[in-house]
Amino acid sequence: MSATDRLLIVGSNARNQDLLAAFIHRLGYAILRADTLAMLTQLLDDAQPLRFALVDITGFDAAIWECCARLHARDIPLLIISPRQSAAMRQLAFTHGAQTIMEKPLVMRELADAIRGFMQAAPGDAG
Amino acid sequence: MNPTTRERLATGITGLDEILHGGLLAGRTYLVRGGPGTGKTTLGMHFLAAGALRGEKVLFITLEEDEARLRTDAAQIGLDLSNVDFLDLSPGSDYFAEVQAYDIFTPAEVEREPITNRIMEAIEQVAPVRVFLDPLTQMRYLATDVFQFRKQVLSFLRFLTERNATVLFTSESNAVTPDDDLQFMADGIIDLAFDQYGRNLTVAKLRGSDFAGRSHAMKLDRRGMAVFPILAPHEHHVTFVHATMGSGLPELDRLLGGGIERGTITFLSGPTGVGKTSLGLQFIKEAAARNERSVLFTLEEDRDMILARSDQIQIGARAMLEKGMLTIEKIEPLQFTPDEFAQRVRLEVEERNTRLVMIDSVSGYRLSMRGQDLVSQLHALTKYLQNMGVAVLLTVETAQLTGDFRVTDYEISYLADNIIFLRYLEINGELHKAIGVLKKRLGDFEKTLREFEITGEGIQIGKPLTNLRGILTGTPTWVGQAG
Repeated sequence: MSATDRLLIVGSNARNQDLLAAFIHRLGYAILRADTLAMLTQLLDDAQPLRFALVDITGFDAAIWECCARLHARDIPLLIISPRQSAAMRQLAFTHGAQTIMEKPLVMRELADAIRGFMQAAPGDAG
Repeated sequence: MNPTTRERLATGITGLDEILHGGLLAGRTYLVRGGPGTGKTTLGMHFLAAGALRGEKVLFITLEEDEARLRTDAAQIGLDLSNVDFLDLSPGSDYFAEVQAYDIFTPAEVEREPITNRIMEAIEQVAPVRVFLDPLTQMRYLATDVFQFRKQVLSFLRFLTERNATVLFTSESNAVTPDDDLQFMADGIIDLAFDQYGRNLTVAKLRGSDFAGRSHAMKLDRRGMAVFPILAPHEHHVTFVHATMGSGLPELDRLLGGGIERGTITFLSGPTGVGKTSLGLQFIKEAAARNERSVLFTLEEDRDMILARSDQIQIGARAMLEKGMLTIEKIEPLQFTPDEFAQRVRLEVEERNTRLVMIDSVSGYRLSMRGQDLVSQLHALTKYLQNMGVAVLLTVETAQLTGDFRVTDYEISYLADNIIFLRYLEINGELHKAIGVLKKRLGDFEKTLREFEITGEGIQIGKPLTNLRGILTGTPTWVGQAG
C-alpha cells in the first residue's frame, strides 16, 4: 500500500477518532490522524500525501474551514461529518470543498461504501 | 418431552417457591419486572445464591451496577455470592474520566460485538446452570431497531437455554420504552410492585406450570426478600378428630356441653374490660396442662400487661412460656400485612405444633393489619386453622356495655362455630357479669346464663341464673320481683 492510499481523519473527540481509525483499518486502508487543528495544520504544511479526508467538524472553530479549503486546493476529496445538518453549515461545507456531508451517528455500512467509493474513484494526490 | 424440563430450581425465597408450585422450571427464561427499588436485583441474588449453595455453576451478568457493589449489597442481606461468577459489563468510572463518550457511530454498532463476544466467552467458560442478567433492557441500546432487538434477545436466550441454563433477566420499562416485547419472549414473568399497602409480587405468566395467581405480599429487609403467599385454606388439611377441649372450669364446661372442639372457631364476645382475654387464657392454661401448645397474638395489649394480669388471676402464663407451652406475640400496628401475619400463624401450626391459637382481638386485627378486605383475610386464616385441626379463639369486642345485644360489630359472626358471650348486668344497682353460650355448632350446650367473676383465685363461674329474666337487655329482673 503506497502512501498515496492513505486517508486523513480529522476530529476533536479522541474516542471517535479511535473508533474511526479501527473501522478504517478493518476496511484495509492506512490512515493519518489529526486530533487537533494544530496537528492538521502541521500535516498540511508537511504536504503529506493523501487520497481522501474525513473531517468531523464537531468541536473545532471556524478555522477548520480554512484547513478544508487547503485540502480542497490540493484536490483531496473531502467528506464532512457533522452532528446535525443546517442549511448554513451545508453551505459552508460545500463552499470549502466538501463533496459529501454525513450526519452523526454514522451507519458503518454506509460509511464503508462511501470510503470505498472515494478510494476507488479519487485521482490520488502526488503531494 | 425432555426429562429435565420438569426439574425445578428453588429460587431461594420460600414463599416464592410456594407460589411457583415448587420453583422455576429448569432451562427456561424468566422476566423480572418492576420499577426502581422494587427488589428485582435482590430476587436475582437470592436465585444465584440458592444455586451456588447447591454447588451449581451460576453467573451474574451485570450491565448496570458493578460487581464489587453488588457483592457488598448481597453480603448486607446475608447472601453469600462468593461462589457466584460475575461478568461485569457496567461502565467503569474511566468511561466518564477518560471522555470515552462517542457519537460517531451508534452504541449498537460499536458495543454489540465486543459485549456479545464477552458474554459468549463467559457462558462457554462458566457453563452456568443459572444466569441472572440485570438489566436485559440495557441491550436495547445495542440494537439498531425494535426488530433487531427482538431477534437478538430471542437468539441470545436460545443460546443460553440450549446450554441448559435457567435464565432470570430484569427489565426497566417506562411509558416511553415499554417491555411488552420481552414479556412475550419470556417463559415466565414475575412482577414486583409497591402500592399503598406495601410491596407485592405477582406471577403473571409461567409456561408449562400452574402457579398461585393474584398479588402476594412481599418484604425487603436486612434478610433480603421474603414473600408471603396468599393463604389458600383448601390447600391445607390434616385428618383430625373434633375432640373436645375442656376449659378446666367445670361450670364453663357444663355451659359448653364439655368444652370447645378442635378445629372450631370460638368467639369470645363482650364489651371492654369484661374478661374476654382472661377467659381465653383459661383455655390456654388447660391446654398447657394437657401438654398442648398455644399462641396468643395480642394486637392491643402489651405482652407485659397480659403476663401481669395472668399472675393476678392464677393463670400462670410465665410458667407456660418457660415450658414452651405458650408464646405471646405482640403485633404492632401496621407491622404486618394479613398474609405476612398468616405466614407467622402457619409457622406456629406447621413447625411448632401449636394446637390453640388466640387472636386478641378482631378489632385490633382490623386496625393493625395493612391491607384491604380484612374480613376475607381473617376468614381465610381461621378456615386454614380449622382445616389444620387447631382450636381458634377470637376475642370480639362489642361497643355497647349493656342494652341491645350484638355478638360483634363486624360482619363476621358467620365465621363462628361457637359463640361465648360475656355481659355486664345491673342488678339492684350493682354491676355483675354473666356468661352464656349463644351458639355451638358441634353438640348441645346449656341455654341458661351463669354469673361470671374474675377474682384473685381465678375465674369463678356461678350456678345458672334461672331466676333472672331479661338478661340480654342488661337490666334483668328477678322472677317474682315487683315491677
